[in-house]
Order: sequence, then C-alpha cells, then structure tokens
Amino acid sequence: MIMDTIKPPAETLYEKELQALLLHDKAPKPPNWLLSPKAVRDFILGRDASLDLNGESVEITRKFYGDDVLIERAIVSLAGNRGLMLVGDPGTAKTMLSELLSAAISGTSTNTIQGTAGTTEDMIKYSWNYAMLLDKGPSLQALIPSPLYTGMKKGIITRFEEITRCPAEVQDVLISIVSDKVMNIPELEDGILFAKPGFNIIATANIRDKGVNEMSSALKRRFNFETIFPINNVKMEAKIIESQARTMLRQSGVSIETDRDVVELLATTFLELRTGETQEGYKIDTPQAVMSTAEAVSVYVQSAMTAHFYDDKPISLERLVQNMLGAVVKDNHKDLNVLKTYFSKVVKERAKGEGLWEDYYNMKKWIK
Amino acid sequence: MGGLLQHEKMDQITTLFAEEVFNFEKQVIYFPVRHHSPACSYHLQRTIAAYKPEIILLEGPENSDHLIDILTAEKTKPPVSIYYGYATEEHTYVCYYPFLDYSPEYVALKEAAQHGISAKFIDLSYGSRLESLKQGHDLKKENKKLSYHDETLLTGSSFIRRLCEKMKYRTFDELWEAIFEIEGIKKETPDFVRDVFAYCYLSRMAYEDDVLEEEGNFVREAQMKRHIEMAKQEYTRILVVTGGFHTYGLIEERNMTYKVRKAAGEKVYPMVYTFAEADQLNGYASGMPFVNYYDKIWQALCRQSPFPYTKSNINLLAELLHMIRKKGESVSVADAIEANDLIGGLASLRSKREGGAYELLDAVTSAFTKGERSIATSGPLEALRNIMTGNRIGEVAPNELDVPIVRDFKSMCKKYRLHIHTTGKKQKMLDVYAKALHRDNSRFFHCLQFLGVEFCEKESGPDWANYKHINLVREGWTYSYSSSVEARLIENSVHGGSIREAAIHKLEGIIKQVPNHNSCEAAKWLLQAILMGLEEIGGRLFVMVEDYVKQDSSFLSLCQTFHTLTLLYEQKRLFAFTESERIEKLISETYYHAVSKIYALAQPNPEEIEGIIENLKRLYMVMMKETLVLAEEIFHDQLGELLYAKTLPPQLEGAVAAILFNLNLLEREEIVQRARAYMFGTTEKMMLTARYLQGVFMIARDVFLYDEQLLADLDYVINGLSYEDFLQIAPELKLAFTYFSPMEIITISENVANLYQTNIVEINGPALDERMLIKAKNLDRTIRKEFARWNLV
Repeated sequence: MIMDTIKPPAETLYEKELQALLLHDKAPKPPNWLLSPKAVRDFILGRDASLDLNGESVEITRKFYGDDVLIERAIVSLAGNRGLMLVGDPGTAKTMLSELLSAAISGTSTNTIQGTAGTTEDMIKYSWNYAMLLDKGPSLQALIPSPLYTGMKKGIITRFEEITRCPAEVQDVLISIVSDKVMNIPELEDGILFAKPGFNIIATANIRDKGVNEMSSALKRRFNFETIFPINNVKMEAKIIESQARTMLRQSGVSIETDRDVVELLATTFLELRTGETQEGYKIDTPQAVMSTAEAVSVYVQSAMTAHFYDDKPISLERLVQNMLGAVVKDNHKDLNVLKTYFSKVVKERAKGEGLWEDYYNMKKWIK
Repeated sequence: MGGLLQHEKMDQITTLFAEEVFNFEKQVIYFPVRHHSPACSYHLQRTIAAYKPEIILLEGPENSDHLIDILTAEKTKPPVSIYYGYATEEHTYVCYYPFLDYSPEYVALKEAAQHGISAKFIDLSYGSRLESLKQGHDLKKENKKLSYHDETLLTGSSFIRRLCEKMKYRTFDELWEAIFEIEGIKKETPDFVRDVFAYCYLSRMAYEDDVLEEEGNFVREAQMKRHIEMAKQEYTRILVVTGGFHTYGLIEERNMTYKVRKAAGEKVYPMVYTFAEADQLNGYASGMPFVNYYDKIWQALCRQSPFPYTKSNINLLAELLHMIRKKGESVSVADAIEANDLIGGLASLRSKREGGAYELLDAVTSAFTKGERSIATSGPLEALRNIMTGNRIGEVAPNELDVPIVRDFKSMCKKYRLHIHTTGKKQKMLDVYAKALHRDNSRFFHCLQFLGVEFCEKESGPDWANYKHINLVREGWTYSYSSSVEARLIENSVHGGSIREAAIHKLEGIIKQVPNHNSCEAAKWLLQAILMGLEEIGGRLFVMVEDYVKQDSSFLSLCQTFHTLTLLYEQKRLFAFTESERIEKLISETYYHAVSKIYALAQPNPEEIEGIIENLKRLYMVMMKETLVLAEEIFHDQLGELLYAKTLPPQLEGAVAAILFNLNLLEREEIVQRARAYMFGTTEKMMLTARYLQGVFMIARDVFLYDEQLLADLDYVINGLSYEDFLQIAPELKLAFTYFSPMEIITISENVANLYQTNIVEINGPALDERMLIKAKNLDRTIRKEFARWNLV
C-alpha cells in the first residue's frame, strides 16, 4: 500500500477504528469530545473484541506500549482544567501519543504548533494579513489564526510540539490562556476570544536534551506532567520495532516481511546499551547517544531498505551493524568504543551459544 | 465478578455457599475474610448483628485465648499485636499477629466483648504448625519477620494473576479494592460474603494439594475443624471467622488424619504494633497496604458516611498540602483541586463508584509532579505514601502479662522524657559532663545498644572504645520507637526484669568466655560496663583485669589494656570511678608488664608493626603527660636495647630512634646517620629508606624539617635512582610524607627550593609538559646543527 502522503495523520491512518468506536460509544463524553474517555482509552490501548462497522469487523489495535495507567491519567487530565505535558527521553513516542489523543478526542491531530528556537508570540496567538490590515484596518478577516486560536474557537485540542525549544518568554504566553481559557485581541473592538468547551493543550517537551529552555514555574503549574519512560522489556520493544518498521517500509513502497529474530536482537542491543545492564545482569558502559526505540526502528528500516535495494535480501546483519553505527556514534566518538566493547564482551559471549549471535559478532568488522 | 466466570462454575460455588458456608439455618456459619479489610469488617459487624452467634471462633493461635480480654480492654488502642516466640534448643522463632481497628478479627473480638458473646482462637500455634509438618523446619525463616497470616498463596495464585490481566488492574490489591472495598460496601452482606468466598475458593483451586500440605494448610484446618466440633457440643449458633483461603478447607470432607505435635517453649504476649509495620508495602506479607488510608475509610464507614472514599481522599489531599508546605516546598490549593477532579475522572473512566487509594496516587502523580518524574520531583508522592501508611503506635492496656522489662523501659523513657508515642526518628543531645540526668540517660542508651534493642544510635560525641573525639563534651543520639523495639525487649526478658538486670546478665555471659590471658578484652568489657553504669559487674571486671594482666604476654594487648585504664583514670569523674589508688596501681602494673615486653619486639609480625609503633607512641605520650607516676627508666632501657637489635624492621627502627631522640637519649645525627646507612647501602637496603623515614616521621617530623643534611642526602638518592627503582619507592616515600601538616609541607618546599636555588612558587607549579620538553630538545638539536654548519661550535 503506497499512500499519497509520507506520514498520514492518525485520524486518517486509523479512520475506520475511530468510526467503529464512535458508532459503539455509549459512555458519557465531556463536551465537544468526539469519543468518550473510555473509547479514547480503547483506541490507544486496543480492545480484546473487534467492533462491527457497517458489516465489517474492525479490530482496535494497541498503539501505545508501556504504562497503561499513564494513558488513563492523560485522558482524564485533558477533560479537566489543566493542559497535559508529555515529557521524557527522545524517541519515547511522546509525539505519537499526543497525535493519538488529539485524533481520538477532537477528530484531528493536525492543529499543531511546532515549537522551535525561532517561535514567536504571534505564531502562538495570531498574526495579521498585512495587506488587508493596511487596507481595512484591524478586522477578523485580516487576522490569521494560530493553531491555539483555532483550538479555542472550535473547542478542540491544540498540540504544542517541543515546547521547551521555544524561548521561555514565548512559552509564557500560554500561562493566562491555559488558566483563564480566554485570549485578548486588543487590536479588535470586542477582541476577546473565549475558549469553547473541548479546548485543551497537549504539549510535548524534552527536558534533558541539548538546546532546550527551562519552563517557568507558573507554566509548570498549569500543566499536569506525565513522564514517558523508555520501554524496559525486550519482547515489547521488539514488538514495537516490528510493527512500526513494517508500517514504515510499506509506506516507502518496500513490501518485505520483518525478521522477528533480527528485530529481537536489535531490541536487545538497544535495551542493553540504554540501561547499561545485560540480560545476564552484568554492568556495561552506555553511549551518550539516545538509544531510543524510535532510533532502533530507523536502524531497522534503513537496514532493510539498503538490503532490499542493493543486496536483494529482506535484511542482513551486515547492513544492520553498518546502520547501527550511524545511530550510536553521533557527536561523541567515544561511543564507538562503547559499541565495540559491547561486541567484544557481550555479543562474543552469546556467539558461543547461538547461530544468529555468532553471525552478528562476525559483523564487528564494520565497527571501526 | 460473576461475569468473568463460567456460569456453571459460579452456580456451583453459589450453591455450596448458600448451603454449607453462609446458611443461617445451620449450627455453624463461616465468614471468609481478607485480613485487615474494612469492607470485610463492615459486613462482619452486620453478620454478627443478624446471626447473633453464641460463640465466635477465630483464626488465631489457640494458646492465646487468655489475651482476648487484654486486647479488647478499653485502654487498648490498636495497632496492637500478639507477640509469639518459640524457642527450640537450636533456634528461636518469632512471629506477630497484628490487629488494626478495622481488622475483621479485631472487630469480631470487640463485638463479642460488647455483646457478651464468647470468643476463641482455634488455629494451631506457629510452633505446633512447624513441628507437625514433615519438612516444617525447612519452612522456618529464622530471624525474618514473620506474619501469622501469610497471604502469599492467596494473592499470588494463577487465578488472581489472570483476573488482574483480564480486568486491567496493576496488582491484586488494586483489584481487591475495586471489587470488594469500594463496590463491596454497597452490596448486601450475603452477596459480598459469597463473592469473597468465590474468589478465595478459586484461588485455592489454583494450587495442587501437595503445595497446600507443604505449607501446613491441611494440618491447621484439621485442628480448626476439631475446635469447631468441640464448640458444636456446647453452642447452637457458631460463627467461624477465618482467612477466606481456609473456608473451603473447613467445609471440605477430607479422609486424611493429621497428627498435631505440640511445640514446647512457646511464649505469647500482647504488645503494641505500628502502622508502618502493619503496612504490606513494608514487607508484611498479609493484609492490605496503606494502613492509615484504610483506617480513615473505616472511620468514615463507622460514621455511616455515604461516600467514605471521596471524603477521605479530600482530607488526605489537604493533609498532603499541609505536609508539603511544612517541608518548605511550594504547592497550591489548585493542585489539590486538580487532583480531586482527576480522582473523579479516573474513577469514572475505570467504572468505579468512588476513587480509591490508586486513583488518589494517580491523581497526585499527575497534578503534583512538576517536571519529569525523578527523585527530584517525587517528593509529593513520597509524602503521600507516608501519609497513607501513617505513623501511629498502639497501646496495650496495663495487665498482668505486661512484660516487666517493657514496663521498666517505658518508665525509663518517661524519666528521660523520650517520646515513644509516635514513630519516626527523634534526636536527643546529652550533656554528659554537666547534668547527672543526662549521664544516666546516656547509660540507659548504652544498655539498650548493648542489648541489641534497635531503639537508639549514637550519632556524635566521644567514642571511648576507639579513643576518638574524646574531647567532646556532649553526646548526640537518635532514637525511634517501633514494635520491633518491644519485641527485642521481650526477647531480652530472659536476661532479667529490667534493662539494667538484663544488661548485667548478658554481660556476665559474655565475660565468662574471655580467655584469662586476654587482658584487653576484659578491659574492653570493663569500659562497656562503666559506660552502661553497671557498677556491680564493673567491680568484678576490675578484679578480672587485675588478674588477667599478670597472665597476658602480648605487648599489644597489654598496651590496649593500659590505654583503656588510663582513659578510665583520666575520666574518673565522668565514670564515677572512686577507687583512684587502686586503678593507679593497676595502671602502673600494666605499664610494667607492657614495657618489659618491648625488647621482645625485635622480630615482630609484619602486620603488627604499625600497631606496635602506634602503641609505643601512646606509651611515650602518656609518660610525657606526667599525670601518672610511671617508671621511665625501664622504658628507656628497653627502647635502647631494641634499637640495636639486628633484625629490627626499618619502620620500627625509625620510630624507636625518633622516640629516643625526643627523650634526649639519642642525637639527631644518629637518626640521620641511620637514614644514610639505608640510602647509601646496597640497592635492596636503599629501597627500605622510605620505610625507615615513615617510622621517624610518625614520631618526630621535626628531624626532617630542620636537618638540611637529611634533605640533601634524600635528594641525592632520588637523583641517582633508575626510573624503575623510583617507581617502586615512590608510593612508600609518598606515604612517609603524609605525616606532615600543610604548614610543614610548605617549610619542606622552601628547603627544597633553596637546594635548587629557586623559589617555592616554581616548585609548586605544574610539572613541565613532556611535549614541551621534546620540543625544546628538538629545538636545541636544530640550533646545535645550525651552529655546527656555521662552525660556531
């Protein structure tokens, strides 16, 4: 299946699931919510039984792996008075979760502010069509609404990606809007925008990464924080890598099956390098680079694509190690040594017992 | 819950329940409980009112019936527990049977007492249970905290695990709270009891018979059945209250007979307990977590509150705000409001009537955490957990079974104004020199420490035993009371009826084991006895030391005894030591014995060298103080002899020479000469220079500070060393120079600078970079070449 867009939004990707859930949703909903909190939870965590949609059986798949209770807390937070702040290491699926929540609650996940160091206050609130402004003076027609403005007006979720990359003074624009649910537009007569029920903000933030700004205490007080921790289970991580890699490969027009054993090997390597502890309980060095699940997916997809296009194979360990090198060794050359040591200590030991690990060990030659 | 089970199975359970378990027409009805469950207590109260039993039989050690009156007395305030001790020839085992206000067993006891209903414990005692099992002794967990009601089998069954997965609950406790605590209190009593029975029955069915037998369930149930049969002879309406896991075991027909072997040497006492220890989260293997939280729920239930959880959650949130503010952290009421909203939202999402402990925890996690979850932001959650566990300590009404040592302990605590009515660490500063009461308090603490009561710990103040910080005049202690303190006291009750008696008795046992040539061990216990203020035994120990010194042939042991005795002499006022003359005589005798062994130290054990030097130094220092009249001459002679022993290790040689130099019995030149003898000897001897210097510097550092010759010689030796030899000697030399103070190091630096005609700044500056040296060398070579080309060199 090749799609028109590289990465369709969640509401398009899971259109049928959302429709089926909507059809069967009898639970009470907060005002302006597309689905009830229970159905939102089912959409993200999956359901045991599939649902019927006009004679078609639709399976509601699990889309988020990890702490299920976190999802419940996040949904309930969004129904309340405060915004939701998703924090955690890079690659822990914060953005994906934010998209899924928006799609299920408001039916759209595209009402998004993409935070950068260059984000300004008018990108968050509103700006003007200057030709019209000069022509007719300040009017609603001349006003260009921001995603936040749209969210308040329509009563839908506004996503704010990478909020900590914005300068602290720009972040603080949100303070009074989140608490008072109102935006003042002094340029207009009667320029007050009251937020419609259903409006809320899901922000994602990276706290420990380089180049991020501290959040003010006032802003922190207006959000409920949920920390997403990296997955700590090889089987679960392998499952995520497999399903995401499959989807990404299909989207790129490469129709190959994923290799479960290779995925598990990759997941094991990433998990061990991330946690600094091997399955046998030995301590190992960890690289400075972020060894996230998202990074592992990208290593697998790249390896599969290289193997597909150049070697005419579904995947090869040779390509895997070559691509892993790019993921592990980024801005710190010492990380190369960490990976090398991992191979000569951990992988070598396992190579004695298992064929796949032996082949994996033989690919150490690429780490240089 | 019924919906999760196949209808047939549920029907079968329902029939069994209606006919055999909870049939009011029958002579016996069985009430299955989970220990410490408020909902079970709530329905049990109703059952007692409806059924009006003549006797209530409870799962509890059968030899504890005499404690029932004490436990239900007006002045007894839970948490309390039955302390159970069981001693065989080889082992001692202890276990606890805690009661909280809302424990179903306690509620039953209270109701029985109030309505004049008989009550009786029917289970095997812990010891008899172990003795009756084939592999009972393997089950025993010595020194581990044991609960009489271990619910591991119940909570860990495969049935419960599957149920949690299916119903999406994190833990069994969350599942229990949702189904039985929150929903259960709104159910009709028979329906509630049926559900508890069904879930316990299915948990039990998840185990094979041999597992149940190994754990001693069958033998216990057989004994309980015997008691029920006996009660049937006498009473017409009997209510049996046991853990739900056993209910089926009591109605099930079993052909096996189980022989009970009674344990001997069992002790049972009523004792106080604490919320902290009753919390399952602190390793207590039965009952529910968050003891204080459910205590509040129970209070709300007693008040007939229509929404017991909602009200308690709000109160706890307010308490949390207060606690966080008290710690000086900022928190707003808005956070608590948000958390309260979240509790409601989560409860509705999870289809619960009200939000319980888990919704409260989740809500606080979301609303109170400001930033990424880490140690830095976990304060509010930690505080909430502490509040939910609580810090209450119970009280036991005064009674004849009151253990005398515990009574003595409490009266002492009162005397010294120690707070033992809440858990948590408290501090006490004791002015041991100035105040007699503080001195007594310190002795009391030392006694408790010696008895291993785990009540107090010394944080600061003089450490007499190790001769550290002895210039300090105050002692800082921390103490905290818990039921384990009381348990340890009860264990010590075999030694005596009061703290003092127990300490004396225990010490007597110890000193019997001290061999008669080990005077320092005897002196150590003498000091301990004096610190504990036990004059009675102190006198006897003093005689022992007098006797042992004569038979002691070890220099180190005698020196140790000497130092302990001088310490006692110097602090005789603090230690209330009156026989000044006698101790002076003993010190002088010990000194004589110790000093006369010096000559024999010529070939010491290498591991003892440092200790010997240290003790020689201390002997020398005591002599210098002149507070005691000691025969100096013998010390001088012995040292003089020792110095000329050929086998003397260099370190000891340096130390002896330095002491003699300080005593003006040796010229400085001789020390220098001896150093030179090493430095300019064979390579092997030269390597020992550092050791010799270590010995010298330990005693007399000034030799090096003011003798330029020694410095110049050392410099010469170092310059002449090969690279490998230098590497070998460097660590030892470095160690030798650690004895100098920073000021002295500066003086040495100045001397070295003078030697090299430079200044101290340059000497202390960073070493020259190797690369720079190479560069300079290359430059030099190039210039030389160039000069040579021009015929300039």
